[in-house]
Amino acid sequence: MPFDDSKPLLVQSDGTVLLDERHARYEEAAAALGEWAELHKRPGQWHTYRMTPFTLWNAAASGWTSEAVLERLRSLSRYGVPASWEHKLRGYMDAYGRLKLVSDGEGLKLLAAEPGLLKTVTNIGALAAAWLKPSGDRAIRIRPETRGWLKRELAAKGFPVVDEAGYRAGEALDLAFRDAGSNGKPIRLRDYQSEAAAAFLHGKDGTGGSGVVVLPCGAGKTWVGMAVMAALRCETLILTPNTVSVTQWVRELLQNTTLTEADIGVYTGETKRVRPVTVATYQVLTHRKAKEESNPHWKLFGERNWGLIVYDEVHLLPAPVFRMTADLQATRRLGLTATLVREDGREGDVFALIGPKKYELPWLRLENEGWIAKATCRELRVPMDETAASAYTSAPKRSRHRIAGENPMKAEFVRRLLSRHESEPTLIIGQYLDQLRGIAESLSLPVITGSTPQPERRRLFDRFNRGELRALVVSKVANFAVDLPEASVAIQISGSFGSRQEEAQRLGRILRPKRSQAEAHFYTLVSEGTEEVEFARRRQRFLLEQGYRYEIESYVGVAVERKEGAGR
Amino acid sequence: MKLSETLSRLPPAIRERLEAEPLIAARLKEGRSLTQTLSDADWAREWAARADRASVETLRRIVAAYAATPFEAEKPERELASEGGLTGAEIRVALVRLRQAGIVFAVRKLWGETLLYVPADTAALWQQLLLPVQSRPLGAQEEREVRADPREFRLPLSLELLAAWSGIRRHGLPITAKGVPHKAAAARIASEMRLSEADLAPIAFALPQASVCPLPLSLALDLGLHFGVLVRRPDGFAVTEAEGAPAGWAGRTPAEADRELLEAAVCRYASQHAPLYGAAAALRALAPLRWHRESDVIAQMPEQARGGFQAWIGLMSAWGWMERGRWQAEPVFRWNINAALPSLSPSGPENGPSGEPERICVLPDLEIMVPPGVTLGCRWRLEEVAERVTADVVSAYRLTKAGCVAASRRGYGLASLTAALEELSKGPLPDSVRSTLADWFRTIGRLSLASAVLLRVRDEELADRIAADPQAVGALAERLGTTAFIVRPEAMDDLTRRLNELGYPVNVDPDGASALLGGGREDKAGGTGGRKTSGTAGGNRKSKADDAFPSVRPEAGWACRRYDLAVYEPDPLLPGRSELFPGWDGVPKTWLQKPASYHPSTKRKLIELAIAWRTALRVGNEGHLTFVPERLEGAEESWRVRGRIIRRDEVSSAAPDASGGAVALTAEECRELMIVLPSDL
Repeated sequence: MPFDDSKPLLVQSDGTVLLDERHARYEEAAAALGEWAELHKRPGQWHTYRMTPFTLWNAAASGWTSEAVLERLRSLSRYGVPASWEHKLRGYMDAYGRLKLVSDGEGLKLLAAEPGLLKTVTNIGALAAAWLKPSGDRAIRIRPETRGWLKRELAAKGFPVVDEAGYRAGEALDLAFRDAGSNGKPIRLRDYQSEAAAAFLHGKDGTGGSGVVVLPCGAGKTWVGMAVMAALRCETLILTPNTVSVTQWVRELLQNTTLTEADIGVYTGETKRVRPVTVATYQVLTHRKAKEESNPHWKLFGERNWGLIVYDEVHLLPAPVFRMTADLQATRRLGLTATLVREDGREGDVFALIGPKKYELPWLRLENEGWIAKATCRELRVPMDETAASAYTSAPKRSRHRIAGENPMKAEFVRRLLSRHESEPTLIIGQYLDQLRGIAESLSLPVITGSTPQPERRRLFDRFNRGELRALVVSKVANFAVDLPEASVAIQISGSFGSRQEEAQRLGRILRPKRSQAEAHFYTLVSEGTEEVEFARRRQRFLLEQGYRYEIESYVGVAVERKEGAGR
Repeated sequence: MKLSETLSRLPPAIRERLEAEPLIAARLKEGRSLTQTLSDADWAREWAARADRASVETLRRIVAAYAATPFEAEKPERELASEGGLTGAEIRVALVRLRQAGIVFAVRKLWGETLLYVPADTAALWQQLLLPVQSRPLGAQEEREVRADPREFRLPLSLELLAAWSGIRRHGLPITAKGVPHKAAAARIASEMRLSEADLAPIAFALPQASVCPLPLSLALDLGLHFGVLVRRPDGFAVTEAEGAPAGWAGRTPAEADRELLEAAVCRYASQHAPLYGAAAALRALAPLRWHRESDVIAQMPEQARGGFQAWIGLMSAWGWMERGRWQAEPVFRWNINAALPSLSPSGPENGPSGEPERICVLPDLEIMVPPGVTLGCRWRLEEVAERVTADVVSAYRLTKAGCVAASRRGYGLASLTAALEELSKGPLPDSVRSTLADWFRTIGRLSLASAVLLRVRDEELADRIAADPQAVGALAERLGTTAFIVRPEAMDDLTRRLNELGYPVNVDPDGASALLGGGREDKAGGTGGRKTSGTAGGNRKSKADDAFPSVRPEAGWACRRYDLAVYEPDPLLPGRSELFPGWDGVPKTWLQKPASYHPSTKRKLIELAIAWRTALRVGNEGHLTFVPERLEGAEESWRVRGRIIRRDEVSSAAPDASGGAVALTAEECRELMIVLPSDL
C-alpha cells in the first residue's frame, strides 16, 4: 500500500504513536501530541508517545473533542489511524464531561448526561456507599465524604468525573513575592512558570483549582508552587518526598516571598511544627508504629484550614497519601512533577484525586531556550586488578555487585576526571559509604552521607554553590531535590542494581543552566567484565530513551597507575 | 485448478487447436505465453466483444452459478436454460465454443462423465467483465462519519504467517506416527498467531479438522507448503530458506505478499465454494481504502455470490485486509490492501513514493523499529537475531543477550550480526548498540561443544612416534596434551590401517563410538534443491528418508480439496455436431433449412426431435415466431405442444399465457415448422 511520507506520525492500534524527529513536520506533530499523549521515550530519531485514557481525559479537560483529535491525527498519520484505536479513542474522550459533580445548597450531586448513564454507574455495586437519594432521572445526591473516593473509583471503571463542586477558600494568608531575591536581582518568573501557574488557577475552560503541572527536572517547579500560593493567598500545606526537599522549600519561600520564619512550619520525623505554611514529607505522613494502628500524622490535614495542598514530585506520592487525599477534595490541590508516569501505574489516581494535567512544558523547549543545560553522558569501563577480579569471580553472586561497585581502580579514574574538568564544580556520587569515605579521604574532599547532620549538609552545599569547594563526595542522599545549581560534572562511582529513576535523578543534579553556559558532564564508572556493565546498561536505557547520547570509553588494557590509599 | 496447471496438462490436440484460434494466435506471435494470453483482460474483452450472444450469455450464467467450481457438462443446460433466452442446444454449443476459446476446460472421470470448469484464477476475471459490481464509494464527508467496528487490530495475514513459520523454525514442528503435527508443539506455534478458529470458519471445510491441528496453524502449514516455504518431512515440518529468508519471499513487502496470498486464498479455498468465490471475485473490483455500503455491493452481486458475502468479508477482516464499520447505522466496509485482480491491475512496487521498500531503524536503546513497508526477508532475519516485542502497524524487536545467543547458534558473530543490522537499516548502528553487542559477544560464541574421534595412546613415547609418522600424521587433526589426538573423521579408516601396519591394532571404545561417529556431523545440505531447512524435530540433521521425499507440486499444500481435478484426465475430445445432436445425420436437411408445411405426424416428429435436442422451432402461421417446445400432449392427430416463445417476428395469433412466453400450440397453429439449430461450430 503506498503511503504518504509527508506525514510524520505512525499510529499503532494500542494508542502508541511514533514520531520521526527528522521529519519536516516534527515540531507541528510534537506540539499536537503534547496535547493528547505522553512522551514515553525518545531514543534516536524516533520518539514514542502514548495515548491513554488519562492523557485523553486530560486533553478533553483542555477542550479537545474526540473528532478534533482524530481529524488532527489523521492529517499527521502516514498509514492512517487503526480503526480499533479510533473506536477506543472516541470511547475514552466522549466519556469525559458526561458525569459532573456539582454542589448546591443541599450538598453534592452527581449529574449524568443521560438517564442510562446514571443508571449504569449507580448499578455498580461497589459504589453503593456513595449514594444518597436520586434527584430526578439524571442526578443523584452523594455523601460528601465520598467525593474523592467516588471520583477515583469511577475513573478506574472508565467514567471520569468533572468536579465542579468548588473549593473552600482556606484561611487567608498575606503572601507575595519579594521585590528582589537573595542575589539582589528583581524576582521575575520565567514565561512558562507564569503560564503554568495561570493554567492551574484558571484552566482553559475556567475550571482551575486542582491539577498537575508537568515540568522537566531543573525547570523550577518550586517557583510555580510559590506563584500559585501568592495568587491564592491562603494557608498552604506542602508535601515533599524527603527532608532535603523540605529544607529547600523553606529556604526558597523565605528568600523569595514575604513569608517569615514564623509563618513557615516543618513537619518531619524530627520536627513537628505546624504553621500557616507547613512543609512535610510523605514519609512522616505515612509513618505509624504498627500496621494495625491508624496514621497518627494524618491529623495534619485537618489541623488548619488549608486552602491549598501542594504535592511535590507527585509521581512519588505514596498510596496511603492518595487515600487521605480522597478526603480532601474540597481543598485546592496542585501536583508538581517531571513525569506523569508512575512506576506503580497509578496514573489514574493522580488524575482522579489530584486533578487533570493543567500544563506541560516539553523538555526540548527548555533546552532550546537555555533553561536547562545540555548534558553529555559517558560510561568509563574501568579494569579490575587481579586481586579484585579474583575476589569477584570467587565471590557468591549476592556479593559480586558490591565488589564490582567498589573496584579500587575507580579512584584513579575519579582523579583523572577531576583533572579533566579542573575548573568545573563536580559531584562524586556513590552507593557504598566505605568507598565514598575512602575516595573523599584520598582526594581531601568533604563527604555527605545520610548521617551527616542537616546543618553540616547545608553548610557544605552552600560552600559548594559559592565555589569554595571544588568537589563534593555524596551518597544517595543527593539523589533527590538537592539544589546545587553550579554542579556541572557528576561522577557516579557506584549505584543500585538498575534503578532508572536513580540514574535520571543523579543526572538531574547537574542540569541547571550554568552561568558559564558550560555543558554538563555525567560520568558513570563501571567495572569491566562484571555484572555492573549490564546493570549500568539498564539504567542508561532510561536516559537513552530520554534522548541523551551515551558514549563509552573503555580502559581495558590501558595501564592504570593505582595510587596508594585511593578507594578502599 | 488454476490456468497454468490446466494448460500444462492440456492434450496436444486441444492445445494446438487453442493456439490456432485467431485471437490467441495473434498474441502468441507477439511473444506472450498461452497462460499470459488466456488470463489477459484485453484478450478477454476482445473475445467477449466478438463472440456470439449465446456463448457470452452462457459464460455469464456459468460464472454466476458455479464460479470456479467444476460442473457436469449437462448441468448448465438443465439448470440455466430455464432462465429463458437460451435454448439447451445453444448452451451445449456455447460450451463447446467456450472450450475452443480456452475459457472453459474439461476433465473426464473414469467412467466417462465430463466435468467442466473455469480455472480458479480466471473465473474472477470473467465475473468482473460480465457481472461487474459498480458500487459508488462514500464521499469524503461521509467517510468522516464512518464508525469503524470495535474489533481488535488484526495483523495482515502475511505477518501472521511469518510469525508461525518463524515459530516452526525456532521450535520445530514434529509430526506423530499418524502423520499429524505433535499436539503440544502445534499449540505452541498456533499461540504465536492472533487468528482464532472462529475467524477461519468460512474456509474450515478446506482445512484439516481442528482436532488434527489448530485451524490457524493448518492455514499456515497449507500456505507454507503451497508457496514452498515449508517442506513436509518424515519427522516433521521444516522451513526452506534461501539466502536467509523463507524461500521466494525475501524481497516482498507485506503488502506485496498479501496480494499474492489473497490470490492463493481465492484459488485454494474460495474456489471450492461457489458463493464464496462469487463474493470474493465481486469484491476485488472495489478500490482500496474507500468505504462502501454493504447493501449497495450486495445488490449488484450475482445472486449465488450474495450467500458468500458476509463470510468472505468476515474472513478478509480477520486477515487484516478489510475493515468494517457503520455509516449512519448502515454496515460499510473497505479494503486495506489492493485486492484488484492481477490481470486488471498489474502488480507494481507497493512501496513509498521513493519506490524503495522501507527500512528498519535500530534505536540507541536496542529496540528496532520495523515500519509496515519493510520486506519479509528483512523481518525474517530479525526473527533470528532479536526478540519480537510488538507486532502492529509498526513492529518492534529488541536486541537482547538471549537473542544474540540464539543468533550465535545460527552462525552469527559480532561482525556478521553488526553487518546484517547495518545492511537492513542501511546505515551505521548507534554507538550504544555497537558497544552493547560487543559486550555481549565478548562471552557469546567463545565456547562450543563438539564431538570428535579421539586416538588415545598409552604412553607419550608411542604418541611421539605416531606424530612423527608421515602417513599417520595426515589423519590427525590436532594433538591434545601428550597422549591423545583428534582424528579427522574422514581419515579414520586410513589411520586404523596404518596403525595396524605399524603393529598397533586399534581398539574402539564402544560407549564413545556411537557418539563420536554418528552424532557430530552437521548437515550442511538439508532440505531440497540446495535450500537450507530448519525446524522439524530433528533440527538440521538429514535422514535418508528425506532424499526420497517428493518435491513440491503446484497444488501442494495441506488443504482438503473438495474438487481435486488433478486426479482426472483432461478431456482430449471436443464434441462434434453428431454428439451434440444425436441422429443429426439422418434428419432430412429441409427440416433444418426453412419453415415448411408437413403432415401432422411429421410435424409431431419434428417437435419430438426439437424437444430431444432441447432446441427451438421456427413456427409459421400468420406470422413467424421462435418457439422452444417442452412437452407434447394429446393423441396422434390432435396434439398440443407446450413451450416458450423466445422470439416473435410478426403478429401471431398464439397468445402467451400469464407465465410470460409460455404457450400451447395446436397442430393447426403450427402450419409451418423448422428445427432451429445454433450456427455451425
